Amino acid sequence: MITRTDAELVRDVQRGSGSAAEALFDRHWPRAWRAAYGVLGDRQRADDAAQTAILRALERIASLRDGGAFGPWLLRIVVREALDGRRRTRREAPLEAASDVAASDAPDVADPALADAMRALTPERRAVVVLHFWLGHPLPEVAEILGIPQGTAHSRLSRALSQLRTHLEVPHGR
Amino acid sequence: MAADLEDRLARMADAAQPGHAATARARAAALDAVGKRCRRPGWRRLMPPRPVRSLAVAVAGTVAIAAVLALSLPRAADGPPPTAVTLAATNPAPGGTVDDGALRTAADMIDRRAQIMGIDGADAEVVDGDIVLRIPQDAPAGTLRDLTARGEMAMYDAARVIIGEPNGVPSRPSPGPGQRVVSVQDAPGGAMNHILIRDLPSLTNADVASVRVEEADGDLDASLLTATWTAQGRRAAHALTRSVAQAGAIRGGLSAILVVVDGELVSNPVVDPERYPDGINSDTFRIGSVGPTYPRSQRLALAAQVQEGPLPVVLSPAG
Repeated sequence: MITRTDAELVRDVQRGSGSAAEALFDRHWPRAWRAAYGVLGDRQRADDAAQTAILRALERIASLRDGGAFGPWLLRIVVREALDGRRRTRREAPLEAASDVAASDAPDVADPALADAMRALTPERRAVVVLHFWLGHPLPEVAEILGIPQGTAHSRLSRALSQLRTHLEVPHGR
Repeated sequence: MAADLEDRLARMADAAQPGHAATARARAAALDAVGKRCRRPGWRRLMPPRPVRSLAVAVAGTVAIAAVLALSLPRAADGPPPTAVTLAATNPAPGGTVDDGALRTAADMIDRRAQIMGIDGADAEVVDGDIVLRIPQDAPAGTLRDLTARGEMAMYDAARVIIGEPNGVPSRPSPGPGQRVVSVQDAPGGAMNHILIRDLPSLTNADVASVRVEEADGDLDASLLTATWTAQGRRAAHALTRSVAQAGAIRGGLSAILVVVDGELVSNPVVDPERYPDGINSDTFRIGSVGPTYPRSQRLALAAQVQEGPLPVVLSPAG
């Protein structure tokens, strides 16, 4: 089986290929959803934000010159959509307890204390944590996805970790 | 604490997976969107933006929104941006105090404004009772001012609130209780006039869910700012536009609806009473246009301020 690259899939979607769009969706949806969930802390709102973002990405895909950058580009749209969504609702939704999750879904919160600490972060700091620790992006990529300089990403991550450790009473400096 | 924080974060991430139903819905929507576009002639070339559900308000006057942006936002924090600026905060209410919560909120709002404006590297944090704002050296001129302006937006029914001369007077009047002064500049570089109004806003930042900046097409060589309302905002906007339409739109000059940001008139759209005799009942509303001679950063600044709402504090350079 030949695995097509993102660049090839994006090119095919730009030419109108539905199967390429399907392949792109399957490849990137889980990470897009996870990013939205990490920022929003709510499954339903993550569903909405991730779906809106992926539709928006497909809508604008003709403007994407470097198809190989589809993943970070999509994540940037997802995070912005999630942050905008949070502002729209103007409320902070808690990370749900496992018992609140639909039976068909896997429980998300095996670590309620950490979920509580994450909830206390600002969405911008949460976004850095999610992109770096949940999705595994190095800080330079996190900075690029969020449209901030590396120094800002680094300082936000440092502050976020410090805040998490304080919340969890983990000794600083590990 | 036995488990390492980073390991715990990684395990938390592993447990976060989208549900099957949500995945199926999103997949169907995505494929449907692509399919529809593929069936549309010329879609690849055009890739039109999402349809604006209501561009119902005729933008009258374009009232030098950018001139206002360029000249009217608070001056205290203006000038070439240094790498880091320490900003002292005061409560906008006379005699009020400033607590850490308000400072943190303001810092977070400034961060979000910077993100919306695309100012890479701007970062605000609370330090010893002040806000320290770092701005990259290559940020556009006026970035400091745009990030730290209070950003208080209000929309008024002009016919109901204007007291006295609707085109304003050159000398700034003294407002009485429940009144405020709105400044307006008819053209870039032109003189400021001042209008006395009753401070009875029909809509404020709290009614705005988001603001979009888009390039105008057709004859309007400008960028357009379009607000999406909250549910409450939609109802209030409908009531406002109905009132304006039924009163009959006043043509030209200061008429119909006043869009005011930080005491400056940034736009005065009118409602076409023939087209919308019952007002405009829509999620979206075009609140103004910005001429092409002004930097995009200033257009985005206004959008960010209107969307994010007013800072809870008034900021000025410390010392």
